[in-house]
Formats: sequence, C-alpha cells, structure tokens
Amino acid sequence: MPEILSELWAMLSSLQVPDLVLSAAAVVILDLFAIAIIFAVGRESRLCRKRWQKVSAGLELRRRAEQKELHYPLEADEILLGRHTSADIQIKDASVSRYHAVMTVTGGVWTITDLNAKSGTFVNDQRIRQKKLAPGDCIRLGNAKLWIVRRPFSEEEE
Amino acid sequence: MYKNRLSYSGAVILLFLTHLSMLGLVFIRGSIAAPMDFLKLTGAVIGLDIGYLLITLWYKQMTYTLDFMLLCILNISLIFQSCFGGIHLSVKHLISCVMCLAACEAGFLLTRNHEWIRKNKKYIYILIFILFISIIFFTDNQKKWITIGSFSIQPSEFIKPCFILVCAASIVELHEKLKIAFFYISKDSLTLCIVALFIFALQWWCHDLGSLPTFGMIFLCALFCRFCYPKAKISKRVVAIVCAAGVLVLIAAWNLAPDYVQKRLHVDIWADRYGDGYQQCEALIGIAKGGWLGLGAGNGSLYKIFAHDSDIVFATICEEWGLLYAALTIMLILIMLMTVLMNPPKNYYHAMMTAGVTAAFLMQMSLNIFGSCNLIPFTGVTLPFISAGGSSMMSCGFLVGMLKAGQSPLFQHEVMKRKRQKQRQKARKAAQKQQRRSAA
Repeated sequence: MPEILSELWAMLSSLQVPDLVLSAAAVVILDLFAIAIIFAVGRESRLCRKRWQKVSAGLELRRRAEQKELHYPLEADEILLGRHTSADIQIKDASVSRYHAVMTVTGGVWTITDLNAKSGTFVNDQRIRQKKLAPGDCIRLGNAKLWIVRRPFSEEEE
Repeated sequence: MYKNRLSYSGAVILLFLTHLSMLGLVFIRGSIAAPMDFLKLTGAVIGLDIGYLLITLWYKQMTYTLDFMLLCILNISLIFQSCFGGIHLSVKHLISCVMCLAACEAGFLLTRNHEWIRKNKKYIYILIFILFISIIFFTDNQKKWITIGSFSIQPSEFIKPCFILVCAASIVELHEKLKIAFFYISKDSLTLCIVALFIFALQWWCHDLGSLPTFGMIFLCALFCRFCYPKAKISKRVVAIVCAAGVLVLIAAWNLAPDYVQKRLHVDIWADRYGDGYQQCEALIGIAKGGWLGLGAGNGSLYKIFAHDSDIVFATICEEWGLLYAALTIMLILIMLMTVLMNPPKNYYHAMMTAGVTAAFLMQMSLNIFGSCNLIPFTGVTLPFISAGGSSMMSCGFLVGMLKAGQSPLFQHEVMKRKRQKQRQKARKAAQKQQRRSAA
C-alpha cells in the first residue's frame, strides 16, 4: 500500500501544468464562489422579507398630502415619526414635533408611543401616551393625519 | 436541505472547490518537503469544512451565507498560515480557526434577541470593567498581554465586541433623556461617551495607539447613527459638524502624539532601511517579488521577518500567492460585510450593531493593508481572519456572530411562543405519566 501511494505521489508530482493556468483556475473558482454567495444572499433576503411580513402583520401607513396619497412601508421594528430629516417618516408640518412619536412592533401588534410632543399624539381622536394600533386606526400628529392599513401584497411576496 | 428550506448545494460545492484548488496550487507550485505534512493540511481543511457544514445543519437560522463565507475565509487563512516558511500544518492557527467558529456561534446566540441584550446591557458594562481591571493589573508592564503558561491573551481585543454592543441602542432608549443644566441629554449617549473616554484613555496608557483608530471609528459610527438614524435621510449639517470635529481631533492627535508615534509618522523607510523602516521595506520588496501570481506557497522569504504572520501578513501572502489572490481574499471579506447591505437588519439595535461591526472591520483592514503597503504609517494592527493570533480570531468570530444575529434575529414574541410550546410539552408529558400511574 505505501508503495502504491508513493508511486501515485511521484506521478502526480511529475505533472507539468503551467502556473498561469492553475492560478487562473483557482481565481475563477473563488470568483464563482463569491457570485454563488451573492445569489444566495438575494434568496435569503426575499425569505427575510416574507418573514418580516408575518412579524409586522403586513401593515403600512398612508397619508394624504397636497392631493397625493403617500405610502410608508413599516420595514423596521421601530419607526420614528417627526418633522426632522432624520425621522423615518418625515412629516413636513410646523405642528409636528421634530421627534414626535415612535411606532414599535411585537408579535404582529404595532404600538405608538408619544415622545412628549407639544401638540400631542391622537389615535381615533383620543390623546394617548401609548396605544396599540389596529388596521383602520387614524393617527393624528399635530395637524397631520395618518391611517394604518393592510399593505397590498405583491406577487413576489405572495 | 437547511432549516430555512433553501438549498445551498452550489455554494457548498464551490466552497469545497475553492479550497481544493488552493491545495492543488500548494501541491504543484509549493515547496513540499514531506508529503505527510501536505496530507495533514488537506485533511485539516476538508475536515473543518465538513465538520462545520454538518454543525450548521443543526442550527435553525434564516441565513447561512455568513457561515459559508466565514468558513471559506478561515480555511483560506489556514492554508496561507500553513505555507509560511515551508508546507506544514499550523496547528496553532487551526485551533484559532476552531475557536473563531465557536466564538461566532456564541456571538450569534447571545445577540440574536435584541430585546434580551438591551435589557442586560448592564452586564456588558460590568464585563468592560473587568477587562479594564485585567488590563491595568494583570498585563505585564503595559504590554497588553496576559501570559498563562504557553498561552497569551490580549484582553483589549475582547473590548471591541463589548464596545460595539454598548454603542448599539434602540430609538426608544435614545429618547429617554436627562435634563442636565439647560440641556436634555440622552442617558444612553452620555454613558456611551463616558465608556468611550475610558477606553481611549486606556489605549493611550497602554501605548496601543494602533487600536485607537478602530475604537474611534466604532465610536464615530455610533454617533453618526445616533444623529442620523440609519434608515433615514442624513442631516447634512450634522454630517458637516461630525466631519469637522473628526478633522480637528485628527490634527490634535497628530500634534500631541508621543515621541515613538511621531517617529513612525515621519520615518523615511528607505533612508532608514535597516532601522525603523526594516519591516515595511521588506514587505514592499516582498509584494514586488510576488507580482500577480506569487512565488508559490512556501517559496517566499518574508517568513524570516518579525510579525510576518500578523502585522505584515498581507505582504507575506502577496509574496507567496500573488497580489491577485491576496486582493481576492480581501474582496471575499468585503463581500461578507456587503451581505449586510443586501439584507439589512429589521430592527434599529441590530442595524447600529451591524454598522459598528462593519466600521471596525473596515478600519482594521485598511490599517493593516495600507500599513503593509507604506501608504500610511505602520500601526501593527492584525488583518481580520487572516493574521495569526487566538484573541484576535475569537474577537473577529464574535463580531461575525453579531452580523449573523442581525440577519436572523429572534423576536421577543417568538421566544414567548417557544416557551409556551415547551410548557405545553411538559404539561402533556406530566399528564401522560399520571394516566399511566392511574392505569397501573
């Protein structure tokens, strides 16, 4: 057995393959691995989006401003609402505080919490400090009104 | 089939092929003194691949790509390290790789439930305090190392993941404010600034100024995320202020740096070739010698230089494997960091944590590679996953685990669901036992 192995070793060692071909093959395989991973990440990303739909109950915020209907997808577990440019949902209205309220989700239930805004946060015309939201609820921040509604699913998500 | 019901057969086959092609290169172009050494290396690489892939099948995760990337990079690193100064299996680096994979799982399991880690943040502060104490009292003469027998541990490496966890916060936490004099200051931001200040002071005291830019970058990234939330538009004014402050700090640090740092900042490596510029000169010559395709595994001469496998590892790889392969390995690490952009975390805590990890890796890689190439002063920072060193590898593994946690988080209601399921199972078993007893 060791003799066969040593013969095989000697035979393999005597193989003459140009360096360039070998290195190019190794580089191409490494590149292909990187490409395969990028594709796999794409598939995983779609899977994570589907899972997020379950976690966030597939809801979104809608607002009517300047005769346009604006849609705000809820794509994180904490959504900051306010006038400041760094807020997730920016509402350019003087009656809205810079950081007005924050929406959080746990187990498919969204909750809105007021961040001590001067003009207050209202849900279905009731001033609140913290309240669980249901589809169809109307949120009022200062003069701005938002509705929480079910998001129409795209074909890909279904 | 993995637990997320996706098939990764293509990626797994290419993972094996990548390592086999590298081993093929070692076999044909490398200087193999004893065939047994080469067989040991092949066995270790294939064994690590198969072992870890089998282990991942047990884990219920949403994403597995980071695991494959980490495994691929670690085995590439094992092959690199095993070829410096002749082909042999570097057992020390193999152990480091296994520890890195274990740390990755630990990081993932500890940080995947962001609500749990947020609630237990006080323990992270305690851990940082313990690490501080160990550095101040147990390291030998400000050398940053704790020596236990034949093992050396660098506690400052473990501060990195802890500091990133301290930097991460949720929006609700950021809006819990204290009134100090006339200002409303976020409690969390204030604590972060105090911890950062202590860490910077400790680094200065330890003369570990190479790690200071990494910690600085993590801190800047945390401040940036706090002022301009990651999912939102960026406030230009804040960006301008932060950039201006950064430039001022850099200028101040440049002028106030101690003598030994000033020496490194102003050294002309070619004029002082056998003095302070020795390592960098040799590194540059090594890169030039290697060219595009390298001299072949084990055929380089940089292994004779101090820190060839840690601080100037990029140059050593370039010499033996060529600039092309070294650059591709770096690209692989960058792709691993990029996956986070392609599949962004769905909660703010993980988003901030991920940003911190990415900042740390990018800074560390830049310092090592640009330092080796003499584009910036030499810092002596390790190259993540590639450089030898157990503490660094464990810290990097833990950081990848944190990235993985951002990709497949565990939401609180899922934890409650699992608990309820377990309770139901227990209750069912108890009822069955009682029935059996009553029947008997």
